[in-house]
Amino acid sequence: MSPSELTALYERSYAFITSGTAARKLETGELYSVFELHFYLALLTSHDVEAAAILTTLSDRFGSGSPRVAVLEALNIEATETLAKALEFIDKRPETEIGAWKRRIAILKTTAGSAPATMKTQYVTELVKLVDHVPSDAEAWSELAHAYIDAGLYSQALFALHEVLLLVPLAYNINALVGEIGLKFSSVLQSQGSTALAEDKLVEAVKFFLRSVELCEDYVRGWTGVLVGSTRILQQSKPTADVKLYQLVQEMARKQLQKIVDTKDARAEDLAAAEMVLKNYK
Amino acid sequence: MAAAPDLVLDPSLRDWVLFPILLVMILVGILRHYVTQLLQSTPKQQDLLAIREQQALTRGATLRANGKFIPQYSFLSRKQYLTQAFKEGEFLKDKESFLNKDEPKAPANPLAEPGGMDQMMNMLKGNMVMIVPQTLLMSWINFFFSGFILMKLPFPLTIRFKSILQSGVMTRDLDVRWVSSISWYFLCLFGLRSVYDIILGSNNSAGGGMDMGGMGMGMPGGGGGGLPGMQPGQDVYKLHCSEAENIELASHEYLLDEIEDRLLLKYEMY
Repeated sequence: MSPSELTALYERSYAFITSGTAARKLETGELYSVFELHFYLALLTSHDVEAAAILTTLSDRFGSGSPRVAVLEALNIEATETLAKALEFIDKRPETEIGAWKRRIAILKTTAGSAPATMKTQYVTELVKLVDHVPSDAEAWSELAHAYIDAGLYSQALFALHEVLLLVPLAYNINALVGEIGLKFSSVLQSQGSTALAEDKLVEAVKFFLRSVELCEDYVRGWTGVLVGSTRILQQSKPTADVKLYQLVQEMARKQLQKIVDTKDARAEDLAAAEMVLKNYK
Repeated sequence: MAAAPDLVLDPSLRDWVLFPILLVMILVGILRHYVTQLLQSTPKQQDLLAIREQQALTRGATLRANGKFIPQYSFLSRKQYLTQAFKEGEFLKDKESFLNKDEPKAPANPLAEPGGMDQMMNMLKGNMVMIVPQTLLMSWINFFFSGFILMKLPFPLTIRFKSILQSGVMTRDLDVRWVSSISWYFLCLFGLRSVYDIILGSNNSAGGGMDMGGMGMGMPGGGGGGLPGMQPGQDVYKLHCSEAENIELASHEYLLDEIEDRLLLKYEMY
């Protein structure tokens, strides 16, 4: 989200909370969820004092024992004080609080960015431990997948992403991401000389891209993926896949992208990307 | 109209019996709401390994339900891993003790499990909060106001309502519209729900369990707590084994197998 969008959202949320009439219509539980969201917005738009005020309200209501409030508390310390202090706070929470655990991992990630490789291992180890204990957490799997992607371990990343798909099978962006990783993985395999496997991965990647556009009809990322993937399949020296089929698929992707570009039915950056891909994959 | 002389109620009956009962009922309801909130113990955090034990089952179920969304090789490797891990007791909370002794444990006493005990205590507390004030109120009314006629409904009713509106009054020929004190108590007991909703907001626990019939609100405060689909004292290993069997039986039908054709048809490329 761009800063201006964020500020606009913050202002709208602020107006909602302070309006009284609109907020009063909500159930109490819902109202506190809105408070929680507003807390995040306030922190993101650096309204620290306001965030602290909301935090006080929430911890007055739910007590400091609440795991959800603890996460907010940790975030507040993180934003207003140092990471080390936040880490210290989180370490005092019981280990069963998944939310606090995730915060710790997030902090580990931030510190790992600049730190030596051991820190990065610690970040990934913690993530693996988290998904081992809470395998129904799609967020954690996706985070793990991104860690593996950064490390270039595409096979592991695909495993984690498949796990995400098991949990949220209709997430078109994850489907497209699986496709993208498949494309990358396939080119790595190609460069290592295992052509047959590379083509398998390529076909699979195109399938996932197609799935993403099946779920979301004008998803530019998905359609570009279909176009790129099918073109690469056709570029294989001796493709085992059904050439005619992929020619049609390629044609279809090109048509759809052209349609999106013509009707300007997407965000500006997506349109630019679509135009570029169309030009490069004539 | 028969010239039967109408009953005349003393206005002090209204001022000193009708309204006090109503007021006391409302106040007791509010009190009950706050007492219930105070008595509610915070749900116990399970330890990490118990979460893992439970989540493993969920994972198996997810794989069976959504396996069609991932490629066959991916599905098969998960299937193999999960069935083996389940059978070896990999996800069990007390894996060590499971591995050390093989003889099956006797089914544990549900009362011995701390989780089950907690839940039972909660239910007991909830019931006490309901029963104690109601007994007191009812005996109060029975002691002081038994046999009182408190008011006259402004609309006629059939004779069947007599038992509802005139309990505690033994006069057979009295018009059904007259309401006795104990009946007024019951009317308040069942009818104050919406008043509490206004005063305390919805989802309050003032009405206790009395609104079960028809209000559709369920028992406030009760339930929750324990693991869904898992009674305390159940042998977890057996659950894991049956999940392993379920996964073994699950067949894989890849949803993306013919996706090219599907989309080509949809966009009329054929």
